[in-house]
Amino acid sequence: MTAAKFNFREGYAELEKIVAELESREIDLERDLPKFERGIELASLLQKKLKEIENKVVEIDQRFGADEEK
Amino acid sequence: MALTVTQFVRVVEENLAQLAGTAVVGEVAEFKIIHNKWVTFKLKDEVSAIGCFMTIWQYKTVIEDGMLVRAVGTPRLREKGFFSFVVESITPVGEGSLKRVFELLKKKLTAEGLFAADRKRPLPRFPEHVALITSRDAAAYSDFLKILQGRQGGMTVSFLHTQVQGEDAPRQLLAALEYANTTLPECDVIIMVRGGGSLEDLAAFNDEAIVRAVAASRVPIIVGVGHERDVSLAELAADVRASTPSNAAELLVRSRLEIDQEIVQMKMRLRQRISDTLSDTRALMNRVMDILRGHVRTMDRDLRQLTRVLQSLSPDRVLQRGYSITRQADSRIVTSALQVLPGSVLTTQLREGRVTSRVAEEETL
Repeated sequence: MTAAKFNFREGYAELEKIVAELESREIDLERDLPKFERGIELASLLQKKLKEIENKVVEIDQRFGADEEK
Repeated sequence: MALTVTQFVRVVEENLAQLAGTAVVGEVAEFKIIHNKWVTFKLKDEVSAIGCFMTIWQYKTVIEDGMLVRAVGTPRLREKGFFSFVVESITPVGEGSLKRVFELLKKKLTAEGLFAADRKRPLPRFPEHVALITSRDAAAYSDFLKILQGRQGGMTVSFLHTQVQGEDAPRQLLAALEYANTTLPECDVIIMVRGGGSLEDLAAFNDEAIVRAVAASRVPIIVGVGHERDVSLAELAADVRASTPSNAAELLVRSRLEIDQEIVQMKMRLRQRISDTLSDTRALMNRVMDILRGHVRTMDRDLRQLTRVLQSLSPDRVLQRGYSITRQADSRIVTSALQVLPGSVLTTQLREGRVTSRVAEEETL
């Protein structure tokens, strides 16, 4: 998964879910290790995504409230 | 040539029609709303007074006696000779009136529950697409974008340019709010901002229609006006009230640093959880090992004891004490005289060496 395609909101929610789940019950190392690894991977992706600087500004080409007069 | 009264009234009416759209500034007196359909009042100054009339649909603000207003309309002479100024729009003028309108409207909308805390919706934690409504010429525009950029990236900002003050501002803001709510349904938050100013500058943000549109916005909305101390009714109706345009960006998204710390925290909690589990497992293994080691020690001790017993029973030890073992030719040990006959050859093992002998006589006990 590339950082550009990765959805921050979903990634963050998934990470929160993994942390909450692993903290709320007994851990079975064999079963839960992939989940743990996924959590660490998500954290890295989120941190990478966070470094994006630019926001895209799109100007809506419309004259608001002008349609009645002109 | 003389005119009939009706003709005269008509001629005067025709002349008065040329004054359509005249703006008159004066103080309001004897303000009345009749049957919730018509509004009548007097406009006066120190010398003169005229009767004014308007329909309730054109009455879009809150007026009361003593207010200074600007009324735009047409003077009319009715058939019965009754003169009135038919008003199309009325706006308060001057800080005093504006302040009073602000207070009255605030009271009215508060009573309606428009500003109630339980109407406020939370903003999404990670907005991806926001609609920004302001003037591209305002400092508010660049302030907001600058602070936003500093806090988070990767967002799409749909910018809707409108006037934020002046006569046409309310209509433009209304249209932009409508556009953001209908044509940009995927947008997560609407942000409507402008810089600070006098009550007159902020009039659009205190316009009843705008305030109602903000309250009715389907998309969660932040409104931020001016300097810290400026408050507009639109802000009070918003889900989130920002003190300045920059503050709107701060309330919209948390800073990278803050979120980064949260992610680091979660990473640490995950690692902690796994390492706790690993050390639990290690402790369990140590306990099992201890028990096993105990067993091994016990078995070792038992084994040594058995060895000692066995050794004490060894025939060698018996020979050492002076006993001997006698076997027949077929190696069977002789334990009874009945086993042998005279002439049999027997081998006797002694402490040292062995002797072979022939049976001379056997005697049974």
